[in-house]
Amino acid sequence: MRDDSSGNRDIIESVRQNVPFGKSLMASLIALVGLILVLAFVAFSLLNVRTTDNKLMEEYAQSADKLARTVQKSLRYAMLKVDWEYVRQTLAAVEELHDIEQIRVVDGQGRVRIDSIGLHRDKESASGLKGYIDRVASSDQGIRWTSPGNRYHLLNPIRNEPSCMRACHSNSGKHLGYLNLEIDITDAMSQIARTRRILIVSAVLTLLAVALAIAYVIHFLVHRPVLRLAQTMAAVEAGNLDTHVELDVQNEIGWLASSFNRMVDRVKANREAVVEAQKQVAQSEKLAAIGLLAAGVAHEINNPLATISMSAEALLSESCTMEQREYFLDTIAGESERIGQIVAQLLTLDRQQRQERTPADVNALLDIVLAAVQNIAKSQGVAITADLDRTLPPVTMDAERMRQAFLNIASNGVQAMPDGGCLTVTTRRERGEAAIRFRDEGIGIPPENLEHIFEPFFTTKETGEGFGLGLAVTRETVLKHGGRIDIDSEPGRGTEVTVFLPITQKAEVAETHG
Amino acid sequence: MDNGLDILIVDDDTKLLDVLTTLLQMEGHRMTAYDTAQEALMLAKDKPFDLVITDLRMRRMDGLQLLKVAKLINPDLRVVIMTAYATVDTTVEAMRSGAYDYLRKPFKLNEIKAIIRRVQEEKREPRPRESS
Repeated sequence: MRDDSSGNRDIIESVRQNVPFGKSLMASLIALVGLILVLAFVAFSLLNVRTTDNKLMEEYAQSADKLARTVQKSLRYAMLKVDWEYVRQTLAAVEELHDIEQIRVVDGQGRVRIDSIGLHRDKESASGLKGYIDRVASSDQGIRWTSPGNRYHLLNPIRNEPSCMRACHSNSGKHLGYLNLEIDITDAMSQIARTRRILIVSAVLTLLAVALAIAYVIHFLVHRPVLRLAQTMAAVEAGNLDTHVELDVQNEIGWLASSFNRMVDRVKANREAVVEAQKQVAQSEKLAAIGLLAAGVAHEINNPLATISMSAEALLSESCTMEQREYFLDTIAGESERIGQIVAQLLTLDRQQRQERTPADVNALLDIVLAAVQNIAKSQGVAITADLDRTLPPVTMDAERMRQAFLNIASNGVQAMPDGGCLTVTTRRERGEAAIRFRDEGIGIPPENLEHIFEPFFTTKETGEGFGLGLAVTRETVLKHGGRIDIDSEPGRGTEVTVFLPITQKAEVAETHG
Repeated sequence: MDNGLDILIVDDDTKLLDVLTTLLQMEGHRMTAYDTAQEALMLAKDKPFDLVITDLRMRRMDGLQLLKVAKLINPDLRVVIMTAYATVDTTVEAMRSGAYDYLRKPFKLNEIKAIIRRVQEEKREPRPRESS
């Protein structure tokens, strides 16, 4: 096809791969139509050849018959006059005609009585004639047959008519003899063969022309439009909804194409609507998140501000003792610091840190984190078990932030077990990801809180113990590293937090070489 | 004459609770402080407070819920709602639920003192309450 681009060729190739030619529409149609055509043409040609053969032979027979009758009629008078020389001359004249092999008159026993040579008395029987003569004698009808060597034979009875009886054949029976004509039909046969050849050749040519016409029709009306449809469908399947099947035909495939085009348009419109709706949802979710964050910030900052403001007012009061002054000043300092910490954490949440990403050993990081929480854990009677997969390949990350994230999760785990328990940390390689699991035997998280656990400022801790930013920051860090965080909890049984981090391609290579 | 009131303060911000308690004690009031609404309600059931000051946003039970339950226990109870994040909706709902007044954090000491004065005047004038 002229307009084939390489992409189109790829699609044609893929159609060829997916649909083996043996099973293709084209092959089935060609096979079926071809078979019907060949059978029809063979039958038609055979019939035609046979009819033509018969017709030619019939024509030949008729002309031979006519000749025989003419000879018989012209001899009749000479016979009545018993002019044998005239008869011989006539026979000789006939025999000189083209194709005529021999002409003679035989008797009931098949003996030649007169031919182009002359009258015979005791000539031996002509070979093979007796059977035919008997048939003619009994049926009173002339017969024709052919024999090998392209010989055509004709045997007509010479009836004993009243005039003959009056002349000299009063007791000679029904037939006086038989006129035997032998014709060489080589020319006729070769003409028949020529006609047959012409017929067969023209049949084959017609068959080819019809086959070509059908192949053309199938190619341009079926194969090519279907291929175009397939190309467009493949493009749509690949996500290109801006494509259409360009087919300017009014048939069923054209209808299919326009129906497909309408469907693509509708899918495109729907997708655009969905994308738009998703955008709106994302926008409103963003706004909701901002609102949530604002509420959280307001609450977290206004509380210490209220404390600071009241403390400052108290300091201005004259009734304040030295001890109270010290208390209020301490409070102001403490609450100011608290605000500072909240703001610092907020900034951490927002900051897009991409620097300092290097391949790091997750297990080594966890060793540091677990050592850091060891003291608090011990004071609460919490045992820490680490089951680390030391073959875990390095993960490209901002180690400092990831350490903070792991520390948040580990601290939460320990804090969830005020009456002791066990914090189990495992690392595993799962489906090309590093899975870092923290399992505690703590109080667990009620289902209604589980969905809010990663929201900023969501906390169940007492004031001063946490701002509810730890898990929000942790999740942000994990997401920024292309990972995800799963949380599974059962109140009273414990919580399992799993961080999945992608193992980078480079790390994979390093691993296989190491 | 004892002008001191029996005041119950509820806020899960323990630092604010502590400072406010200290300040109002300095003013001569008898303070009871709790950092959860449930515990505060248990007490409010048995002891007649002149004034309850509660934070709005708290874990488990929030200030509005406390206000509604407290009003069921004692319809005359004066409940002041404090909030660090106020919206018109919450203000309206609080007042409709029978809040005595509304304080937006950060507030001036004078604002809380003004409310207390109003309570003291009410106690003196129209409806004498059992004072301890």
